[in-house]
Amino acid sequence: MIYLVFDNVELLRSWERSSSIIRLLFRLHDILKIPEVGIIYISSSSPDAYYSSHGSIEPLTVYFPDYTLENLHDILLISNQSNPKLFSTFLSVVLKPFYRVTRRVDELSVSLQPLFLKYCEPLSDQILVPDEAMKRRLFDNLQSHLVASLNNLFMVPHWSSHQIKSDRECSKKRSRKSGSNELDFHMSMSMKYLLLSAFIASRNPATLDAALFDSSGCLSNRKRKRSSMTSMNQKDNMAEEILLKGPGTFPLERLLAIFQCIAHVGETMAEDEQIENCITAEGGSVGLTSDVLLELSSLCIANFICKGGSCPIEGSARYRCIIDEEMAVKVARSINFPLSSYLYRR
Amino acid sequence: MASEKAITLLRQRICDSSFVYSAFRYSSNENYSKLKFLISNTISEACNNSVLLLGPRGCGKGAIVDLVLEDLKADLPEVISVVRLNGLLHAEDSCAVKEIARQLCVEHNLLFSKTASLDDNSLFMIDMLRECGLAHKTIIFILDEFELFTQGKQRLLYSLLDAMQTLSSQSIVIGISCQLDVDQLLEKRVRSRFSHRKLLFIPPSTEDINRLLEHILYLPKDPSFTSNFVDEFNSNIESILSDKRFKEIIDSLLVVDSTISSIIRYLYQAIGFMYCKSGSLTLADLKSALLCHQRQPMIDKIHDSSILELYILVCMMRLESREQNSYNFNSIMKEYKAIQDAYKTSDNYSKIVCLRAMEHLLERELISFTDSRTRSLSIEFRPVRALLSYQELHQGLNSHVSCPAILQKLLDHESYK
Repeated sequence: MIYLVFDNVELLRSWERSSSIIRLLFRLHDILKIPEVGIIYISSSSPDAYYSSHGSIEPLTVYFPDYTLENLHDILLISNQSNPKLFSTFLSVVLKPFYRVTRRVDELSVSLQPLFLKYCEPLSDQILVPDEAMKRRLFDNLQSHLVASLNNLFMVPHWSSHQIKSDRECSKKRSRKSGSNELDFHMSMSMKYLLLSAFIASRNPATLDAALFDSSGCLSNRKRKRSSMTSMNQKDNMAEEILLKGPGTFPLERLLAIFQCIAHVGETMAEDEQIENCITAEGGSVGLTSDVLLELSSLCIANFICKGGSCPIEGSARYRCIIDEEMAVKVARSINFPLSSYLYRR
Repeated sequence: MASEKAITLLRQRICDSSFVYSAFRYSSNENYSKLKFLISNTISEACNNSVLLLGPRGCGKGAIVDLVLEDLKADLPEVISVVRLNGLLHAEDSCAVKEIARQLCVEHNLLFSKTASLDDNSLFMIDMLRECGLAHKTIIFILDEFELFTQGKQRLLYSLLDAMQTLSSQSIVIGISCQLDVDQLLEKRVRSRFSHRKLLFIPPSTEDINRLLEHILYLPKDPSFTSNFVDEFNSNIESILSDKRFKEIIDSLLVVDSTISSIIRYLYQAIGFMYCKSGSLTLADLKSALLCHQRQPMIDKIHDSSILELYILVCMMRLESREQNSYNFNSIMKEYKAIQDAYKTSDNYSKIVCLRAMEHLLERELISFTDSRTRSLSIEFRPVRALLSYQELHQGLNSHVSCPAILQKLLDHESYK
């Protein structure tokens, strides 16, 4: 008997000419007409995902359900052999709340490991088998960490940030950064300005640029807000729309214009300080050089800014800033930039 | 062990389609006798013919052809040579002609040249047709998935049917398709050369199914089994087959899919259950096989989801019930936060955790993105939609082991807040 095993069949669906390939694959046994050949398909998606392929012959299905709480307990117990009794009591406390969030072994084992270290902290002797009183004490100690840990479930610990390359998803990367209060990476001054101007360009409607930045680059007086009923409604609609649409795109010219404006503001602020300190250095000048374009491309590579579709009329590339507000605020704080006054509040 | 041997025999029978369909050989199955008459008539009168076998998948079109050919080969050896093509593999002309040449070479003990061109191969095919005609040999072409041969220029069909008309050949073209109007897809020049014989295959009647079940499940009076065991086994099967509850099971099976292949699949699963206990077939086995056969993948997926994932699904359903056509993670999150603010449940998690839960749902294919091209947008902003209906979610939540009661309430009363 020969068995052919096809793993990850669900990926076939995204192939070119997938429907005929899937049809052929599922009819393979029929076409071969060799009873000594068995064919096994392994797929993470259910059989109805393949129905569109002209009612091909349906294989017998064997369903593998997800792990139950007991399964997970047993599986995780295997990974920690040093003190199984202690780990087992730890799991019986911790696993249940985590189980409400995720059932995947990989995610659970990653997030439970540091928590277990915290759990063990009060123990002097790790080989010890805990009694009831000890269990309670350990649990009380852990409880404060538990909620925080649940909410940071998918964060990669800080120390590993250098080892983990950028192949992680950008969402994960951002989540890691927003965890701590300080930026945990280095970025040049002009790059920070560039990132902030990209953020502003993405959040604000383009029509508002003229109002926000006057010719001298300083902050102009903003119009007084109206708060009638209709404008409130409009605002709600706007907020809804922004929620749905996400950050807007902008052409390079707009980014550079905003960059020049806010860099100028930053410069004057820096100069004020320098005058106070009686230093006459020309350090803070941020000119529009080819460096800026280089920095823009490295921001793109770092996945802070992404290149959107090009504009059909102008043909130039459009960009979109995909960092969240939390991070933008942090970047602004690190260079003392008054970001909030430049953002259009709806 | 007699019972294990019996199970092995049953499995062999079910996997062997020629055995399964031989139930219809001596019966009044019209298609079998019609096809056999047609082919044997063509052979004896030394003429050409073509026929289409039409009908839904799993009704035994291919198996009946095999049966007929098997019988005819036994009756008239040395007269028939068979060429089989499959539309999935040989829809391209050059590929198909090459395959025909190869099969003819094998059949007649000739040397097949892999490097032969399309022209060489088609010349060879026509020569072979002529030679076989002179030698009073019939070539039977079986074109499975016939509708796929009608794509493109239909050069293969034309040259085959044209050769049959002009040459003194002797051949039959049998097209097999599950597309009932496949002859409408033929080009004019091909259609005019095609004899419009069609055999329609329909799903079996209840009597046919009963005959099939008896044919498969009864053990033979065979020296390999003790006659005691065979009697016991067969009387058990008989009592099951005549049981009213078994009839209900078969009915519920047939309502969904009444083709032979679905019944065969079901029987295989039932025998799999029987193997676990290695006893005789019971009604309980048949029932659990039915449950296995009629799995609802969406409900299974819901049962596998964690509580937080269920929250997100319920939020999506609430948004949908408010006729919000397009929504993304941010709007789901807004709804989720509103629920958490109103009820202060213990399942209040941060945004990142919820985002990851939504990624799990995407992986489970319970939800999907509505757009495919804007990859540059991050996940939070891409519009999503639920791939399951309200009823499915409702049913899934009700049968979920640890679903909190509040979720069901939130789902049932959309305005509940």
